[in-house]
Amino acid sequence: MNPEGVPVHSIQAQGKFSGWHARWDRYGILVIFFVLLVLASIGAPHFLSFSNFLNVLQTMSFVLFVALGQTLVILSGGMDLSHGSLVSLSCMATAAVVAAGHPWLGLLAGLSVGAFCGLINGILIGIVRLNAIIATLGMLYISGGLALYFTDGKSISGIDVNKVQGFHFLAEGKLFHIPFVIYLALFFLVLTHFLLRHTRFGNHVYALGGNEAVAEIAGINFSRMKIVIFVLSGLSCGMAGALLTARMLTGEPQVGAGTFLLESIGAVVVGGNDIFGGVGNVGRTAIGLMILHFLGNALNLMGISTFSQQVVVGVVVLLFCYFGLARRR
Amino acid sequence: MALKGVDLDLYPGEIHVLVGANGAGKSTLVKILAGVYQPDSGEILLDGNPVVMRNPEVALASGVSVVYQNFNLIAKMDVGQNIFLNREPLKGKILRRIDWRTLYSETEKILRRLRVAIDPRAKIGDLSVAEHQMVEIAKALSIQSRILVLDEPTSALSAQEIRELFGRLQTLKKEGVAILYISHRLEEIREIGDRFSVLRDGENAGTGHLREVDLREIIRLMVGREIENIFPWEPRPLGEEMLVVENLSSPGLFSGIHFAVRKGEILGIAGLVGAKRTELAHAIFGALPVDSGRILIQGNPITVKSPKEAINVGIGLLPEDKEQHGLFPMMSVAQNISSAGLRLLKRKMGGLDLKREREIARQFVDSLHIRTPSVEVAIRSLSGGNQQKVMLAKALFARSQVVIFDEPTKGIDVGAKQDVYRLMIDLARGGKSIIMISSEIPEILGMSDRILVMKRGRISAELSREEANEKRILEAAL
Repeated sequence: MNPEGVPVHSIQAQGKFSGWHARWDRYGILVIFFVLLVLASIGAPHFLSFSNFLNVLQTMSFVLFVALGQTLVILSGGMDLSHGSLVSLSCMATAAVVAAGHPWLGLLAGLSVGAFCGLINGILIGIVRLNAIIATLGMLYISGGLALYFTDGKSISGIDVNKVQGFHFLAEGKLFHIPFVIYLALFFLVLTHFLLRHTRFGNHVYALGGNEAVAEIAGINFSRMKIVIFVLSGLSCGMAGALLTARMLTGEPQVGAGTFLLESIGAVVVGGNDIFGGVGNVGRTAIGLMILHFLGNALNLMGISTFSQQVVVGVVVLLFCYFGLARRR
Repeated sequence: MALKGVDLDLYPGEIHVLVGANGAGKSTLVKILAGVYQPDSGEILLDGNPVVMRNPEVALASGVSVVYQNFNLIAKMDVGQNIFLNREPLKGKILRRIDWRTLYSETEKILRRLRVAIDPRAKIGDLSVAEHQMVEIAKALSIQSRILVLDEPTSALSAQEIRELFGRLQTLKKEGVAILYISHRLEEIREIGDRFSVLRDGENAGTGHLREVDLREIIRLMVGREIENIFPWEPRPLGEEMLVVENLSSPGLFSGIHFAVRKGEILGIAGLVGAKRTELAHAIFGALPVDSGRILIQGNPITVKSPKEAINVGIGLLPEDKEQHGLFPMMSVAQNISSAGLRLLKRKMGGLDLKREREIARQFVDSLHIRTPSVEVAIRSLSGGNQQKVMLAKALFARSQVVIFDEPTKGIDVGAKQDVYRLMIDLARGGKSIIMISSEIPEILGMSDRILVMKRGRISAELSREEANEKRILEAAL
């Protein structure tokens, strides 16, 4: 009689998530993370040291930007596959402008390119109403191609570190012995958290991910929301791309391919956010990303080859997915 | 076409009741008022000025708030978040942020005013159906609206909860809110309403003051006059018991269901929306779990844990929601017909005999008079009535002995309805057992050999064809 109404099992689910269940649901991921840290400290030589931790966190920070963007998209019930190439394209755009002698304009260029591609994604998804996976898959190809096209696949080099010291500091500098980029990542983590938890926009992100039709009936503007969400997602790639240029002082046309896309989705999933949207937070994403990075680091220190590492990481992602699903069933 | 030239006026401080059979277009009308659907023609006047409800945002801004029949709540969010969705209270001068404390305390106040004991922070997905309905009502009442539309707001509520709701509606009425109240429950209409309108087949069949008519007159308007003679029913000899359901129960859905269907018999199941008739059908078909009771086919107990097993023992279901449960909209007529009986198309060497699939499909198209250019066109290009026939062909091809029709004529026109009725009679004459779930009382009366009435998950009456009439069915269903 009421197909869109209440799924039958929800009646029986009453009170199921009480006590230990609820607590494990909330904090289990933290427990897993700390168990991983303890095991790695015992098993991997030189793992437990301040400088190693800072190294891992610094490398991770670049990915955290895109993972935050991806969290927004996934919470709203979509997925952004264009991340890998958008990072590369932004990196190239930044490098081209910085090499011409304008470091801060270069940062702006990277951000603009990311935001612009995100805008196109947002229009395709929010107004044309293409499926998010399809639209962003197209963008993955287009921006990936563009990143290679302008330099014929070559890197952009020749940036003089002495002329762009302030810019370089963003990614490589240290403040109180801690890499500056970690502060930046932390700042954006808190900012995104604020956006999601304390603004109407954020609440509507959850609503869209929870049930698109209901959100629209409540008067939430689907098109506007999707456009803003994807612009922010593109902006997060622009940020990561520009900062990568600041770190490497070169433009690498394939810097984002592979890791950035996989880890931006991987972090969201491993952190235990609902892959279908509506439930989750950026804290989970950050912990998910830390699990991926500290695990990789520990395996490295144990002398395990990068190829076998990937297999291990894959198994970890599947395990987390399985337990995440089991929890919600 | 769901609505044809409907006129309806609504005054401040009145409760206008809208009644009509299922499929009469009530919910469509609501969605047009709320900006969810757009009308092809006609206009909406507010205070005498034309307004265009371009989208829900505009309708809300114009002061229209709606309690929908299919609950519009987000299961993954909590009660407070749902009630204040898109109306979240804000605080802060520079950084405008959601004032969660106010949101939850306001939610608590709203719920208390309705005397509902629900935690404002409870996840919607953890609440019962009745609680969903209360939250939905609380949400609509908390919006400062000038026009309040309630579509079947009491289907899951207890008598006590209905009292509270009616109390609130009377208060709002005194405050000058115009209320459009849609319901099937005729006795509650009298209690709450000032005026009424009847929708029938998408048209306004009559408007008047409730004080000046009796329920009989309203039912007559709902049903229409010429309806009797479209049913091709005639007496038939009945065979032995084909399907027996003994004491079947499913937690939270239905309990103690006990009945039998004989060969060649058409058993009608009547009841209100929410009486759990569809759920019963799905349980017999193995699509919903049962926790006690048993099912027998020709005297042999069977276990159906999945639709596949049900099909194998000869049970066929024609679901109400064709797109969702009944058909593969993108696949061809032939593929749809064979979909439940692919085991019959298996070749010895492996693979499927697709030539035979098409031949059999052609036979069904002829024998059931399915209007389609060929058996290879996609099913979604067919009309509703013809889709219904394809579902029937599918059940017959899978060699069903018991065919369950769930709202077989919902949303199809009178001509197609008659076709479906004739096919049903032919099947019964051929010795098949038929269970017909319908919310249309004339259809139940016109087609059934025997009638069960369900009410909130239980069988509340069993009537023979001779003793059944509208009044008795409504009495048992309400």
